[in-house]
Amino acid sequence: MRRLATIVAAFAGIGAVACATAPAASAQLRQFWVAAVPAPTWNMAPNERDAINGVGLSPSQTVFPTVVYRRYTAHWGHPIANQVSGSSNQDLIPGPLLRARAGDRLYVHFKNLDTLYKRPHSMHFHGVHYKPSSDGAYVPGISGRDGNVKPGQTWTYKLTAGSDSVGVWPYHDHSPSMDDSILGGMYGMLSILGKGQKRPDREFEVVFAPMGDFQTIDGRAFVGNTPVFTSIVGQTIQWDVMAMGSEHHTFHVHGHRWVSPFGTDVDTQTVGPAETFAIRWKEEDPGTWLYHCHVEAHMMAGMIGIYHVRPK
Amino acid sequence: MRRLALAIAVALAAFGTATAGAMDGPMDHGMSEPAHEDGVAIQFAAYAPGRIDVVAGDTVRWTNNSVRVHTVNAVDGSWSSPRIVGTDSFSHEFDTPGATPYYCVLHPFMRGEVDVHNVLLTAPAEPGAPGRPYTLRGRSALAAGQSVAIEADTGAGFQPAGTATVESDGSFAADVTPTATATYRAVAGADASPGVQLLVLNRKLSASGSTRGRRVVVNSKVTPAAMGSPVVLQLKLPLHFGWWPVARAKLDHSSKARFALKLAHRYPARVVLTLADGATVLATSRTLHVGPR
Repeated sequence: MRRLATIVAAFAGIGAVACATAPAASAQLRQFWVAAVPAPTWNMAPNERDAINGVGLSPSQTVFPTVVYRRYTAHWGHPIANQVSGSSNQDLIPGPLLRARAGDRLYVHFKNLDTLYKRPHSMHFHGVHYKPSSDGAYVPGISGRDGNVKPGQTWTYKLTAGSDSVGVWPYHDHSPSMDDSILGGMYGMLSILGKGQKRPDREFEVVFAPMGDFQTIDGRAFVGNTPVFTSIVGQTIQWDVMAMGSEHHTFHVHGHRWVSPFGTDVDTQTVGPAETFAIRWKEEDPGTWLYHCHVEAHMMAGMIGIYHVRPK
Repeated sequence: MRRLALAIAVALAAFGTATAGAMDGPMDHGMSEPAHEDGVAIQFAAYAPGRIDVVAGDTVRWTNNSVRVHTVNAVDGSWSSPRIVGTDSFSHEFDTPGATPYYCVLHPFMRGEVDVHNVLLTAPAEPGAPGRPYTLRGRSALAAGQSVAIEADTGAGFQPAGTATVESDGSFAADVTPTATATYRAVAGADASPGVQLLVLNRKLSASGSTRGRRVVVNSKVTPAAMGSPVVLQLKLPLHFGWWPVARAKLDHSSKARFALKLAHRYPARVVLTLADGATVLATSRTLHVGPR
């Protein structure tokens, strides 16, 4: 059935403008503690199969050591799960969903705890305002420590969510280790609401990215391994969709439609490297549905998952 | 149903926060690896290890760990180090397969040997299980795409046990299915690696479960003892299309592990003993049914 659906953010493929703005009087300071930590046994397919095609997979194909973003409690108290309540997302990949509201200032405290490869790392944020010292990108001879945080070191990125920051945006490693880090899953999203905008009941993060021999969603491949997103009829759900790597993807959800940025009804929407979009709808269709990248080669290589809607 | 999702989410979160030890070798995941360097310590009166196997193209670094001054000199005179003082080190790259004996000119009784190979198998760090796949890893000086044969000797001579393809970084991995403890080697043309032993143990895993309301406790024990080894609690979940890990633990000093979680519904459950990768199964318990009816 036709539904009322809203795109809450346009494509965000263009880099953020590096300038500081004064926060609104009611703005909050939101602080996050995020570390680069080893994930020595990341498994892209814990159920050991491509269930749809009936193909078995062995851990030698799917398990590898990597480094990921991990959220911590305030002042590096202890590590906590990356996913937000009600997300259905798994832990570790993507990195923590950093939520804020237009007008907020964000301090993202980053610590490099990469004891696996002992590489430098960083965090580079799209869609928000910041000074060059919070860009997080490595430029030889020009950038500072923000773009090249060595193992054991910390850096605080100071960001401002402007009125033009509403939506979802990528963050990722932009240090000298950027290529390896992104292939290993060092990416995540900012989710920024407009003033007065309500959070959805369920917020799902979908990151399309290649990993090893597979095409993954959130670092996992094939149904059952990729996140099993769940909702209940009547809930407002939001899909935060992003691509990393060097390929375009087409996000498709079975049995559902939404309004594209061009005002047309669609059930498939393209997302390119470091582009993002968010889709909202009020759920009305119970059942077990597929979501996937509709680039056929990507879907067959693992970019497919399950979305389960329970009756009210 | 909502409670189920919450319970599973909590369990999965707990699972994700625990990690097992590092694998004995990374798979090819498209990321660059540093150039390989092998280390030899120079002690007061000996090199340690005294003999080392390397792959052609590897660099060996000798580091002085003693209060004495030493040197590293090839017996055939083809290369030599300067005097290695304090904690200094000396490196040399080996490109030609064969044995290279060396010694210290200041202490000629100190002798060592570098054995250079075109193909090497990494010694397995953990025992395997009979009839269970086990991944052997190695390195090679061969070009990417070339084939390496894996052979096993259980006492009756080497027999084919698997094959592997060399990756762009020279690494290779081969899944073998051992039936008993055996010596394995990698063979590429006329080159054969030194043998490495894979110990095979037939471990048994027992498990029992109890349910009170939504609280579920699963106790497990592995024999013979495998203290410190990872065990994983799996539930059979339709939306995950099979057995799905929901919690993990390490066997305690009694080779036991206990899992506690909350479930809203009843599920088939089992505990598996795995290699350090947390995924390669060595032993499986019987299937239990846990959670409220």
